[in-house]
Amino acid sequence: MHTDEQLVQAYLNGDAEAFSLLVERYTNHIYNFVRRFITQKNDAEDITQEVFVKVWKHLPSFNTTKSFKVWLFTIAKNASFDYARRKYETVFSDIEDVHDEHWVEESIEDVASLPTTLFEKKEVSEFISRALQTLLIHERTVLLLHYENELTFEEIAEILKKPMNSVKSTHFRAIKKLQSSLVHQNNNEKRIK
Amino acid sequence: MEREYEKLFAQVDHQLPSEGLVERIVATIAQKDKKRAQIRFIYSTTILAASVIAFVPAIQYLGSEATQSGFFQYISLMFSDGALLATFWKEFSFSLAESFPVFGTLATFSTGFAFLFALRNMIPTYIISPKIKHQFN
Repeated sequence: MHTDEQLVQAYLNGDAEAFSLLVERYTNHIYNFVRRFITQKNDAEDITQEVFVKVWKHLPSFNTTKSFKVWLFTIAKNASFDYARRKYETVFSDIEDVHDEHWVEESIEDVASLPTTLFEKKEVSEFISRALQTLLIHERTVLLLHYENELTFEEIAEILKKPMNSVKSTHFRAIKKLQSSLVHQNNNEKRIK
Repeated sequence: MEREYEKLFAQVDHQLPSEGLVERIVATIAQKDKKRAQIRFIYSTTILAASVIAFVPAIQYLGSEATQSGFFQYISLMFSDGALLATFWKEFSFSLAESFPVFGTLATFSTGFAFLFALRNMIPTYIISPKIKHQFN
């Protein structure tokens, strides 16, 4: 199993197959990430394709000492945000994160635990997807990159071009909102039953 | 707490693209790669042809400039009269430098470099690098 960096290097040395392997490795991840911002399946697929075309075009100037995954997600994030900005101008007005300058040291440990019954629910995936839609675009991005794509806060800070403390602060706010949304959905469901 | 959310996100269903998206992406890139190669070939051919055409007048210009400035005479003196050269080497060097056909040389070298650059661009990468496997083509 070759690392991303080895495949990038192989492609830059002339092995075109190496790029196909990178496309194969990341298409589902990128599509899934893009789809969290773009509801239309076809549009999300077009953007995924656009992301890889951009990567292919700019790969010769890519700094191989840096992480390919971080660079790829940076391009995917930019493409998704640009599309969102064009398509849903008003809804995505929160793209510019207004809280950045006012970050405070907060810990995720301060957030109350999730109800244990939530984990046993069949609809948990739907609950989370719905809860994610209630978050600001930056908050959603941080959670998706951290939990779904296993990127560190440092890497997310690089993708979002923000200080790491700001990312941690956004993460904390997002978790708090997500937690309250999930509890709310859980309680609502109980009440209906 | 972070673990709790990791566990939670692990239960989220991943959205999957239509079957064949990977192939579509690879095919699109292959198509763009081919187009880029074609464009590169066209402009390289143009540069190559232009440099070949320009090389003849550049050489002629170099020759006439060198003759007019007396550069060739100084060169022949260098080989025919070594003793004179040893005595007046300083004056000789100045005269040689002064008569050097700068523009003719520049023109000749430019066309030469343009020719080599175009040739380098026209040779497919797999000839230069034996490791190449052109799956896209």
